[in-house]
Amino acid sequence: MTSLGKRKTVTRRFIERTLKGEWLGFESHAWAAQRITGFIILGFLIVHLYTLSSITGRKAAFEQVMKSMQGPIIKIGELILLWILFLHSLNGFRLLLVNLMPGINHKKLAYSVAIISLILVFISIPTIL
Amino acid sequence: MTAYILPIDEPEAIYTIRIKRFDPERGAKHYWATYKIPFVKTMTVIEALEYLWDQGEYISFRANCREFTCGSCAMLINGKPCLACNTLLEDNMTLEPLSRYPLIKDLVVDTSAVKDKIKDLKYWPETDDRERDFDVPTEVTEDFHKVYSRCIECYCCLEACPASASEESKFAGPMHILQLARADRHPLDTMDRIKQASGRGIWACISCFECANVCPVELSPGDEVAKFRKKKMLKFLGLGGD
Repeated sequence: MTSLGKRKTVTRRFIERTLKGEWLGFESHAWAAQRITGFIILGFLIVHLYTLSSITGRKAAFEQVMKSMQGPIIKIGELILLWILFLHSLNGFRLLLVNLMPGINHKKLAYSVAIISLILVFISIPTIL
Repeated sequence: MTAYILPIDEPEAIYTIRIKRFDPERGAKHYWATYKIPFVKTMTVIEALEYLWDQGEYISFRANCREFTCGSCAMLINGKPCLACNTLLEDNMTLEPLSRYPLIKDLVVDTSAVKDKIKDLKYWPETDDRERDFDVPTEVTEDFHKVYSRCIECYCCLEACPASASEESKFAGPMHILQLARADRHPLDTMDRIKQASGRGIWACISCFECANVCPVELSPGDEVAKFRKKKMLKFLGLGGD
């Protein structure tokens, strides 16, 4: 007897199956999105705190940084970041609902989270730009 | 092996299927073999395999009821855990054995590890007094009819679950949690199933519902995990949970 493969961790198994083009449900992608957006938000938080701490108490440096934040690329980046924040928070709320209301239509809920996060970003466009 | 029963005199098309084969007598490596199948309407994968047997291609596979009741013909069809008797044949299909278990031959795997876990988990109702009279509320009977008695133990959910894939993972797997929920719902059962489920890694489930997506009888073991989590939380907060 032989085994066809070693057992894998959740992340490794997800990546392996995705690369192989295997079939995965939408909730699996929601789980992956939650992890990826979590790391992005953590990265943003570190950069944000570092940038703020490096210009604190220096008005000229602060204004220079603020001026550099007015470019179109930064604005698009802000919209993407906003979408990531909405997606992460709504996805977390989805997980709460799934666990507190067993039997809820988890598939519809996962699709709803993706759609609502996009709608919220579109609503925010006039404010950001 | 029964004789092939579908009329194949006038096939609608000739389909090609690829099967991952393994013969321990030929060597330790598996290999892919391609076969041509004359497709007739409503032909299932199991019928295609039976057709190959009739043609002298002795591919090992498990099958019993052929009406998705026994769960023995679970295999990876196009990479997805399915029952071969429940899946219509398509062109360019790939058939593989379940990947979580030691391979015996071709599409047959050794699932004794699952059976050991079943013994370990004691799914059956544990009671001190087997002679005791008990009333079964209607909602309990309905739950058994709609959910708990419908699991055919095909292990498709165990194959699809990414959280129980790792040896380090404590999560027992969707089918086992569903069966624990079944025992928990039984009016005679006296074991603390919430504690048992908590010890079997219900918090390691990532709520991806792959188990529900692959279940051939459309059960949702992920919901049973959520129910156990909710009960555990309520118990922890002193708000019930039994």
